[in-house]
Formats: sequence, C-alpha cells, structure tokens
Amino acid sequence: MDLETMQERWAEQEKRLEVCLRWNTHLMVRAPLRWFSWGVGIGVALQVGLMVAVGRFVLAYGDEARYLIPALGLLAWLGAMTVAGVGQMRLAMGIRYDLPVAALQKQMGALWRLRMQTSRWGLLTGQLVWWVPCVIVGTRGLLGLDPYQIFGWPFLLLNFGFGVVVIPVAIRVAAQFDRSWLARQLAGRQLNAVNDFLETIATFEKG
Amino acid sequence: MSSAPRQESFEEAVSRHKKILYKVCHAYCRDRSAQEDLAQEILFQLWRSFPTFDGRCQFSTWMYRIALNVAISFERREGRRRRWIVSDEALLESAASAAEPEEIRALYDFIAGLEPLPKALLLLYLDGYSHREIAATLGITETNVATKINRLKNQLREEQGTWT
Repeated sequence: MDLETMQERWAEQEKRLEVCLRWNTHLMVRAPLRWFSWGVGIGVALQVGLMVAVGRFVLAYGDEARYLIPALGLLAWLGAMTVAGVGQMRLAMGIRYDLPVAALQKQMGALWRLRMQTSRWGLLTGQLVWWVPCVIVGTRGLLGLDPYQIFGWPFLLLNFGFGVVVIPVAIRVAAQFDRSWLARQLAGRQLNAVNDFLETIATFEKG
Repeated sequence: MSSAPRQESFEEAVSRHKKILYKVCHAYCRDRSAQEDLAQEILFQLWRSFPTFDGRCQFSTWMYRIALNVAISFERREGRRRRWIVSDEALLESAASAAEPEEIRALYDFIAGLEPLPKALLLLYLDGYSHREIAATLGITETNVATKINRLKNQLREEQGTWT
C-alpha cells in the first residue's frame, strides 16, 4: 500500500466514522484537571515561608559563624528551589496548546527538563541540608538550645560528611537499577530522556 | 461569552469535528483505556483554549493542533507509566470499531509504529491538509513537510511486504 492508497482508505474510514461515531457528551465532565502550577505554587509558598523563618534566624545569629554557615546553606538551598519552582510555574503558565506542535513540544520539553533537574538535585542536595543544618538551626532557633553541646561537633561533622559522600554514591548505585522512579531520577536517566526528546524535536524541525 | 452559550458553541464545534478526536486517539494509543484518557485530556485542553480561538484558521485545524500537542505529550508521559484501567463506557463510541476493516487496523498499526512527530504529520497528510497547512500546524517549513512525506513514502515502500 502506498501513501496515496492509504489516503483513499483513510477517506473511506472518514465516511464510516461519520455514520457510526457516537458522542457521549455526558462523559465530558470527567475531563482530568492537571493542577501542576498549583502544586508547584504551594511548594514555592512553603519555601518562601521557610526562607523568611531562616532569614530571621540569620539576622539573630549572624555574628556567630557556627550558626550562620548552616543557616546560609539552608537559605541557599531554599532560594535555589524557589527560583526553580518559580521558573517551572512561569513555563507552565506560558504553555498554550494551540501553538504549532514543534514550538509547544519544545516548551513542554523545557518544563520537563527543569522539573527533572530540580527534583534530581533537590533530592541529592536536600538530604544534605535537611539533616545537619536543619538540626542546628531548629535546635537553636526553635528550642533555644546549643546543638553543638547537645550533639557534639564530631557527630555533626561526621553526619554532614556522610551526607556529602552519599551524593556520588547514590548516583552510582542508582545507575545499577532501572525499575524505580527514584533510581532513574537520581541516576539522571529521566534527564537523558528529556534531552533525547528535545533533540528529536530539533531534528524534526531541521528536516 | 457567558458560560452556557460558550459551552453550547464549544460542544457544537467539537462535535462537528469529533472524528479528529477519534483519529488522534486511535493513532497515539492502541488500548482503549488510554484512548479514553487521551480523549478526556484533549477535550479539557480544547475547552481551556476555546476562548482564545480567533477564527484566523479553520476550527478543524486549530482542533487538530491542540489534539496533536496533547497526544504527543500524553504519549511521552504515559509511555513511561501506563495505567491499565478498563472502562465499559467511552466518550467516543464507534459501533464499527470492533469490526474495523483489517486494512484500517493495519493502517493504524503502521501509524502507531511511527515516532510522535512524523505520526502527527502523517495524520494531517492523510486527512488531506495542504503542505502549507501542515507546516503551519507543526511549526516547520513547507519544504521540510515535502521531504518528510517523501521519506514516509519510501518507508512505506520498504515495508510493502507487510502490507500486501
């Protein structure tokens, strides 16, 4: 069958569909709502709230390096995640499905890539800031206690060092597994898939 | 436009071109539950974009563009985590779909085997759109459309064995 014959068959199908296609409009209400920007927006709002709280801690303990450094680390992580979240929201809100296919798919790919990058690096570096720096800031800021006296320097340093080592180890271990979303995410496979997708579009556009 | 007349004109316009929905869903998904999910997503995006339809192009062209965009995104996303939900009622029911002619089924199988973007191009071509319309819908040049159609012709010729 060549393309012209294919076109004839297609036209025949068109006539057949005209007769037999039934439209169940009552089922249209089931259209799924995808509140992606809302979800990201809530995350961003939470992060901003936390940044304000950590910012106040920085102002209160800015003259003590042992509190300032972990608090700044936490603040930097929250700041980066917020910027990435806002970027995702901006991209998601700019998506218009009536754009030409290649243009829209590039936008979708860019959004997908940012999501993958954010979640990958958010997971890898998050375990670093959400343990030791958070314990230090929380113990001091919320309870008014000295975390260095309670836990001791060696414990805190060891845990932080362990967190740093976990990053390359997690990437390497995740590369051995393919079945779980987490493993694919940590190993960067999802990111590779996005890049392949964007490359496919670029090739398609070029001809 | 207030909500009720808007809904009415939307339903009327989409209903007139429901075949597009059927064809895109069948070209991008071969199992029924996925087709149903895709149809719902396309309808949702059509409804959302409907206020921006300015009549500069035909409604069918505009609808095709949205349907293809949703379908390509759907295939990319759902291809990785397919849900298997069996529905006993479909938004678009074809009385003849069970008795689909063998040739049409083979045609859909061939289309399903293509990459998402060439698939979009072939659907538009089979529906009789001009090179200019296809180029505008896909966001590529007319020359590029012609090249790709030739490529598809060659691909078909190579796969002739499975078609005869």
